[in-house]
Amino acid sequence: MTSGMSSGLQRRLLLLLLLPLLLLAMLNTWFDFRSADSAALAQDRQLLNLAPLLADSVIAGGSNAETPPVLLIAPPVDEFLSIRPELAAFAVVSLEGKVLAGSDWLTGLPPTTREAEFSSEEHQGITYRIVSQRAKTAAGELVVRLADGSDPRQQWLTLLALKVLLPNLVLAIGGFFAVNWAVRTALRPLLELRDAVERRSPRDLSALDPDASPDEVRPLVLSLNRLFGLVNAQAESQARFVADAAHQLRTPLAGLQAQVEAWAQAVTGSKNASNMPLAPVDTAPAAITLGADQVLRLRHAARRTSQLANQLLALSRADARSAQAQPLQRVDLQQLCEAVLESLLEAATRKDIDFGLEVAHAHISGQEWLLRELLVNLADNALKYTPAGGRVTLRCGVRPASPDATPTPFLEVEDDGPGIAPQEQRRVLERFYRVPGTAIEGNGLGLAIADEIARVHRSHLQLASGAGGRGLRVWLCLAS
Amino acid sequence: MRLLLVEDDVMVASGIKLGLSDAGYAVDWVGSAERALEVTQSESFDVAVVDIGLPLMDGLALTQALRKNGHSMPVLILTARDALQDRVQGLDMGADDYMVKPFELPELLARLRALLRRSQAATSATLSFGPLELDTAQRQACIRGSAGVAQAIELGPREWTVMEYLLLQAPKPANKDKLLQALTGWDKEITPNAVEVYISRLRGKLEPHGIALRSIRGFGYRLELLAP
Repeated sequence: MTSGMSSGLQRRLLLLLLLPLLLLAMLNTWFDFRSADSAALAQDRQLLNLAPLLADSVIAGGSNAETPPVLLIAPPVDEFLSIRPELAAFAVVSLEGKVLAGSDWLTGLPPTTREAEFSSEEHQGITYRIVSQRAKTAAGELVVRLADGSDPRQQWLTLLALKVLLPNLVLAIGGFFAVNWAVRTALRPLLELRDAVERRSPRDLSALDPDASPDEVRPLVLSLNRLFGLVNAQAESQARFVADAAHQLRTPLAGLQAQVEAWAQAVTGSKNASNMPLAPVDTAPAAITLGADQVLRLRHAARRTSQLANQLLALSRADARSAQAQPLQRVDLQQLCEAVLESLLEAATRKDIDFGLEVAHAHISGQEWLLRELLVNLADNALKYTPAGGRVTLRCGVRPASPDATPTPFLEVEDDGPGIAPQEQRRVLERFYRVPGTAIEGNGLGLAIADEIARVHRSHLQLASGAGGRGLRVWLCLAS
Repeated sequence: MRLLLVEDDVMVASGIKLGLSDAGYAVDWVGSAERALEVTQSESFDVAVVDIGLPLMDGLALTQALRKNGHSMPVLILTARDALQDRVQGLDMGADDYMVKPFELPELLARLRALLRRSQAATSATLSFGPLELDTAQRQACIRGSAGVAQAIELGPREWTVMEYLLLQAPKPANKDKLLQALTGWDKEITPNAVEVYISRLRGKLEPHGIALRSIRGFGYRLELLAP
C-alpha cells in the first residue's frame, strides 16, 4: 500500500511536470511552422513581383524564334539572382517549351492562362519554388520562369528533425530525468517514513521522530504517533483487563471447584468409582448428603460467576470502539426507566425496598440496550447497597446540567443507602475498584460499565450524596 | 403441567429437569430437535423450553417447525447469546419468550408461569392469580378456598376493569397510565385519583383473602400474594 502510494505520487508528479513540458514543445513547433509558412508566402510574393520584371528584361527578340532574345536583366532580378548564387535560376521559355535563355532545366509546358503559376520541383537535390507566367515581351509572348531554391518551407521541413524535434526531444528526456530525480529526492523522506512504519511490529509502537520528516509530512507523523499512543494504551488496558478478569473469575470458580472436588473425593473415596456421570447428586452412583447451607453456598458461587461473566461481556461490548460502530436509535427514557423498574421489582420487593419512579417524557438518540445495561447496573447497585426498608428512585426527564445551561435529558438513580465518601467517588468508576471495607459482595464492575456506556453516549457519570446528605445519587446528562 | 425440555447439554438439562420437576412440572427431556419433533407427533405438551444451540437442527428451526406442524404451546427459548438480533429472531420464529443462559431457577419458573397464564387466558375465559379467579365470560370474580369452595366477590364495572387489567399483567406490575387508558372507556374525564379510589376498594376486597395490591411509586400497582 505504501509503495503504491509513493509510486503513485511520483507518477503523478512526473505526469504533471512532463505534460506541460510536452505541450510547450508542441507549441514551439507550431510557431516555427507558422513563421516558415509566412516566410514561404513572402517568397511567393517576391517571385510574383519579379516575374513581370523578368519579362520586361527581354528588350528585343532574337533573330528568329529559335535564337535567344536580347536580355537586359532588370536590377531587382539581378539582385535576386546574385544574392542566391547557387539557389536561384531563371529561364525565358518559348510557348513551345524551349528554353531561350537562362537555366535549361527550367523547361516545361507553359501555363494555360496568363495567371502566374507556382510549383515546386527538385533539381540536383534542391527543392525549388518556381513561378511561371506568360508575358508579352518585346520578343513576343513568352513564358518567364523564376526558381528559388531557398524555399523556407522546404528548408523548414529538412530542419524540422534537427532544429525542432531534436531539441524538444532532448529537453523532454532531460526533463524526464531531472523531474524524476527531483521527485525521488523530494519524496525520499516519505519513503523512509513508509519503511519505518512498515518495519514496525504490533509490539513496537513507539513514537516516530517528527523532526526527521519534512514540514508537510510532520502532521501525518504526529497523527501516526497519536494513533500509536492510543493503540498502545488500549492494548495495555486490554491486557490489564484480561488479567484482572481472569483473576476475578478465579475467585468464585475456586469456591465452586473446592466444593465439588471435596464431594467428588468423598464419592470416589467411598466407592472408588473414577468416572462419575454428570447427573444430579441424588442419582449418582455413590450418594452423598448435602447440607442446605452447602447447596446455597454453591448456588451463590455459581450466580456470582455468571454475573461476573455477564458483566465482563457487557464491558467488552460497551467498549467505545465497537459500540460507536452501531447505528443510533431513538430511546424513550421514560419507557427505559419503567422497563428497568419492572425487571428489578422482584429483587426490590424481596428486600422490602420502596423502589419507584419519578419520570417525565424525555427522548435521546443512543443505544437502547447499552443504556438499559447502564440503568440496570446503577439500580442494581442501589438495591444491593440500600438496607432493607430503604428507598431507591429512578429518575429521567429534562433539566439543565448547571443552573444557567440549556436543559438536557438526564437519567438518575438515587438511594438512601450508605453512600460513597467524596474522596472515593472518582475511584469507584475504575474497573474492579471496591471501596475498602465494603461488606456487600461485588466485583467492582457495575459502575465502570455504566461509566463506559455513558462515555459511548458522550457523557460521564456524576456522583453526589442523595437528598439530605444521605445515600448516593448517580446521574448522567445526555444530549437530545 | 407437561413440559418438553429440548437441551443437549447434560448438566444444564439435568439441572433444569430437577428444578422444574420439583416445582411440579412433568418434564420430558430430549437432547435434539429431531427427537423433539418425533415426540411432539404423538404426545402433547403444555409448554416447551428449547435451547438454541442444538446439535443438528437448532432451536429456532425447531420452533419454526413446531409452529408449522400446528403446535400452539408456548415456547421459551434458552440462549447463551444475548445480542439483540438473536432475541428478535427468536421471537420472530414463533418463540414466546427467551432467557439468556446462565439464569436463575426462580426466574425461569416465573417466566413459565407467565407463559402458561397467557396461553390459558387465550384459550379459556378464566384468569387466575393465587386463590383469585376471574371468569371473563360470566364477568364473575371469586376466591377459591383451600377446600375448593368458591366464594364470590362483588365488583363494580370499573373495579372489574381495573381487576382484569391487573390480573392480565400479573405477576408484572400494571402501569398506572395504561390502567387509566383502560378505564377511559367508562368515563371520559377520569383522574389518577379515581384510579386510586378503585385500587383502595379492591384492596379492601382482596386483602382478607391473602392478596395484596402493592403500589409501585411512580409506576403503578402489582398483585402480590401475602405470605400466609
